[in-house]
Amino acid sequence: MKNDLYQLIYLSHSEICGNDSTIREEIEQILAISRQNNRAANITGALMFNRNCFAQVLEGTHHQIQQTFERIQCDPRHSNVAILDFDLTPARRFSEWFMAYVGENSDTRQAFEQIQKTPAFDPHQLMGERIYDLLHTHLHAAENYNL
Amino acid sequence: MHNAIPQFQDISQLHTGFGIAYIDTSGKILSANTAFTRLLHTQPVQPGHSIFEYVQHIRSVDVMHWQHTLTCPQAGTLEIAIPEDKSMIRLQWTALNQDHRLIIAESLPSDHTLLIQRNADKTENHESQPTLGHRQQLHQILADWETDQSENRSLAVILIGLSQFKKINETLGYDTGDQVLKLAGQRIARVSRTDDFVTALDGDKFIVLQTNQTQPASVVTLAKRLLELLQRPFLINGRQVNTNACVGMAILHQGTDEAKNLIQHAEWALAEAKKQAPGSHCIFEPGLEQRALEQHNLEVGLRRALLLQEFQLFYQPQIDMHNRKIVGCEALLRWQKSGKDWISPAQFIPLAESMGEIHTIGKWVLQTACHDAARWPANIRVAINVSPLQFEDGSLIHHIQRALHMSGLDPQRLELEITEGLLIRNIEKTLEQLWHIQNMGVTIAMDDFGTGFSSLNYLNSFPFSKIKIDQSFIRSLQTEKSRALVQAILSLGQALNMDTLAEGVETEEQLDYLAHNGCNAVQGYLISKPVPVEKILELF
Ligand SMILES: Cc1cc2nc3c(=O)[nH]c(=O)nc-3n(C[C@H](O)[C@H](O)[C@H](O)COP(=O)(O)O)c2cc1C
Repeated sequence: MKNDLYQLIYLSHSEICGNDSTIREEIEQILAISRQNNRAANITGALMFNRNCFAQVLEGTHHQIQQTFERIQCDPRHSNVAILDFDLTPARRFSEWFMAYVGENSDTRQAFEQIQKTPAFDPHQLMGERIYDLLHTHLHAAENYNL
Repeated sequence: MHNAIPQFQDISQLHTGFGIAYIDTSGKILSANTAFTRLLHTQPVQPGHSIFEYVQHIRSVDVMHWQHTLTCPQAGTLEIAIPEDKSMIRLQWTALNQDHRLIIAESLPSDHTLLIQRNADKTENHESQPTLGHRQQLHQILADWETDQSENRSLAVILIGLSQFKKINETLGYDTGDQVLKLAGQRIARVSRTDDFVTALDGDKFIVLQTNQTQPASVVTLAKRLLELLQRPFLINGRQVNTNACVGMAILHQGTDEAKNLIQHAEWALAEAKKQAPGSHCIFEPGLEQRALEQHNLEVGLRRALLLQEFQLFYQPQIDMHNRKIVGCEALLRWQKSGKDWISPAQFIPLAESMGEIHTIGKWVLQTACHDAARWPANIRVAINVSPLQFEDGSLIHHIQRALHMSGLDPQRLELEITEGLLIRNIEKTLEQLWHIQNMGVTIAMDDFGTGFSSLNYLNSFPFSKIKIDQSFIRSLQTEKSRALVQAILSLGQALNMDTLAEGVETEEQLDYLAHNGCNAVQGYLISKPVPVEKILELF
């Protein structure tokens, strides 16, 4: 149990307000701290987002996921966290920590392209198609739906 | 009074497992107990001396850091390793006022080697979780609160009570319950301000003490945030676990005059919040105390009401529309508390449900009503109200069988009235029981029809044979809207081949209207008010 590998997938609503550059700043900050913390905790996974939503996959031991998730839960930059999956997983699907902007609107896409490039993200290759499709669909559906 | 040096009680003889010391911001000791000396492994701590004399031998103590910390008003925690016996001591300090600090020392279990510094840079060590303060400390702060500084310092208590916690323990095990408490405590500590004091109370409660904030704005903001956070899922033992909370708050000089009463007042406010929906919060105000006490008395009274035979069944006749003869009676529960006040069912039934007393009370109603009805003419039925909760433990069928058997009442003469609320719970389990009950020959009536969310769907798939039209529609029969609704319900009954009964009929016009539109039966003051069992026989 102690060293078993778990996977957590959740969706949440973004509470980050402001223009694209504020959003980008916040996201960059999340990315930076996540990189640092997740590496130390041996957590891999991905964070996807668009204007309204976050979708995140975390892989690691039960303890590390629990601790990381507790910190993430208390973060005021998002709300309405809905867990899609929390279960044992036979192997890691991500070799590292990734971040991607998933959105259709071409203007916002451009605004976030920078971030997307930085971590050299190739979701199709790296992620289980199922998760990817699932999250993709959810995020797209939520993109133009203002809560 | 303002500039007087506060007189701290002499605590040198205070025997607790914790070391306690009062010091000033320069580190000078005002008073300390023997446990404090013992835990620090040092010579007896004397008032007037500096705390730094006693910690010289502890290498991990950073004197500069301590000196700085003592001047800050924030509460904090520090863990130090004692070289003599390699033990770990946790020191927690709190500002009692501008110049004085309270330190609580306690030893940590030996495997606890992490250096936890709640207020230190958290990113350095991410394993470190926010820690909670000690209960003892809370009481000290409240006891030592100086009222003469009231003009510029505010004090407020936020009391957080987890809901449904018992259920987590029961269904997922105590280990899961313990972890929920631990993680919930961490969440609370994490989002509280660094100078808030956070601690766990017994059972499933937590306290946040706020000083120097603008109240009530500050407690309300934090309460809302905490409530939102605590309803988010926890990940425990490979599972997602959900809980919920309510919050009670009390603020010094805003309804509470003395610091020592804050916790009790917050408890009363919490009780009030719990009476509302899960996730509610409430601030103490005078009057709540009275209500909480009344509620308490009501609970105590309700627990012994059966034993003291304070319940009574009244019966209200139901007549057939065609021949205007009595065809049944609805059993209505009445409670006369301590031989004095009559408590309304609207008040005590929800209470009985929340206390779990509804099961024994429901059983008594079944037995008594069947017993009474067995003495009535054979063409008269008895209708009994059943709470949705009575369907939950699966023993209802057994109780019905027993009541019928003991009284000798023909099952055809028993009717159960259930509300639409029943249908939102465990539908499958409920349906199974309803069919079973109907197969016994007992009829089932849908009570208060039209007030909830009943849909045609339900009526079709559930074994009802009667619809009771709620009295609110009858009372407002003069309005177009109510007439349309009543007509719709009546024709629905005809279409589905179900009997219809209108409740709360008070005038001849209402009766005529219902007769004209095909209603099968009526009940209400026009026919008779509910009467005690002795009186009902006279009406037959
Ligand atoms: C959507 C979202 C995802 C996040 N993912 C992570 C993550 O994977 N790892 C992490 O350490 N922090 C993540 N964070 C940041 C944490 O919420 C938190 O700010 C950070 O861990 C620092 O915590 P601390 O202030 O308690 O040290 C995320 C934040 C958001 C809003």
